[in-house]
Amino acid sequence: MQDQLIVRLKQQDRAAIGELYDAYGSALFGVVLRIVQSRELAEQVLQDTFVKVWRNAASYDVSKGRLFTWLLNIARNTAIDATRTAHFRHYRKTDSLDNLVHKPGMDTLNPDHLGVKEVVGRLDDKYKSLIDLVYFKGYTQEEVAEETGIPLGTVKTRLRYAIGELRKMFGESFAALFILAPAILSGY
Amino acid sequence: MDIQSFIQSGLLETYVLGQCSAEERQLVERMVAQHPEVRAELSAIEQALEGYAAANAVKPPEWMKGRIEEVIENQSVPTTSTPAPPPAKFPASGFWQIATALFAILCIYFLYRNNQLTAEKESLQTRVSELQAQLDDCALRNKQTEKLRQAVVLLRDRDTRPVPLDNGKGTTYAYYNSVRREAALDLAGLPAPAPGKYFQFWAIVGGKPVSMGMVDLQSFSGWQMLPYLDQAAALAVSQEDNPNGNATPTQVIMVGNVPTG
Repeated sequence: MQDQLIVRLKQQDRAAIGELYDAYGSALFGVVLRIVQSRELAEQVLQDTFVKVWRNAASYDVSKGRLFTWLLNIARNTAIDATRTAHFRHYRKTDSLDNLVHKPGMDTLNPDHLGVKEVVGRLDDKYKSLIDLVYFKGYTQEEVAEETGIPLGTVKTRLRYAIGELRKMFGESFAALFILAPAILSGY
Repeated sequence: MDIQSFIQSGLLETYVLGQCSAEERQLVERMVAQHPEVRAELSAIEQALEGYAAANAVKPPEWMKGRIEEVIENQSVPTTSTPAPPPAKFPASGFWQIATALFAILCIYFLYRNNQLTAEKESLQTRVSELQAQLDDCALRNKQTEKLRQAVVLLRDRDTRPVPLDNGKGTTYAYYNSVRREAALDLAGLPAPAPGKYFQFWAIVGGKPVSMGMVDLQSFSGWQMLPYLDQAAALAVSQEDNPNGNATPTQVIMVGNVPTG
């Protein structure tokens, strides 16, 4: 299913972008929101992301990783670029990392369907915040170490551990479920 | 690199998180391309993070999908086929058409002629080397005929004395002429030498053997002219190991006295 979608994207089949949006739009929007911290800007970033994906579909190389990893990289970079306007640079520099990750009110954006929140909730907060900073927000491991005061080696070890825990939670079947979930939910 | 230690290194996680340097990225991509285990591991890490992202998904506003499709619709540049290159033109005027055609015909003719002449040259070269071989053969025969003629002249001379050489089983003749100062050997009566042995011809002068050279068993005519030695009392054939002969005879197999008078 995913392979066909990739082929159609590369062939610039316009119908494919709608399907891609149905499959990944919500997951990408969640990430973008965390980075830009503004719903209005996040909407613009998400739109820009899909336009970039459409234009650069030819450059995606299946052998180098999964489609979602590629999509997330584009979304993350677009979001970070958007925050590099004067206002957001100021915002990001002055706000502490911890506040960004645990922004009051942001948690309410998380969906609580299919018991997902409970599953993720099993991951210790100290791991969760690391994953969030690096995977969702694009901080380098060095930046995380510098800002949190945790040694770089520990940051790396914890990240690896956290991903190991996530692998237990999101096996192959689970990942497939989440790819389908937004599509099912959009029907409501 | 050892696959397990590569997987344990944490580089794959760093890669999926988008944190690799360009060199690390190349290393990961090479390992993924070469080892299915590494690829499976990478895929599992990606799926885990993908699941995590899905768990943190936020539904965008309803109008978003339509907006994106609209933007793409407007932005798409038709990427239809590039115009075909114009067909190559032939020279316009009739003169040039004819000239080109003639030139082409000439080219084909010369090519054909060239091939023909090359084949002819090769066959002539073969013929030349055949003739050269025949010429060499003729020169050899002339030389042998000359020897035979000398032998006939010697045999006809009334001063020529036959010298029977006997080995007990048979006789062959040497001929000795003290007036013409010539000698010859009839090879027909000689036995075959033992394998790896050669015949040497001797004259006994003053009771001592003096070499008269090797017997040429390959001689075409069956006759061999020999150097003449004065006052030979006897002639002999010996069998030798050395193809160039020895200073004294090793094994005399035939001997005969030269008749006096």
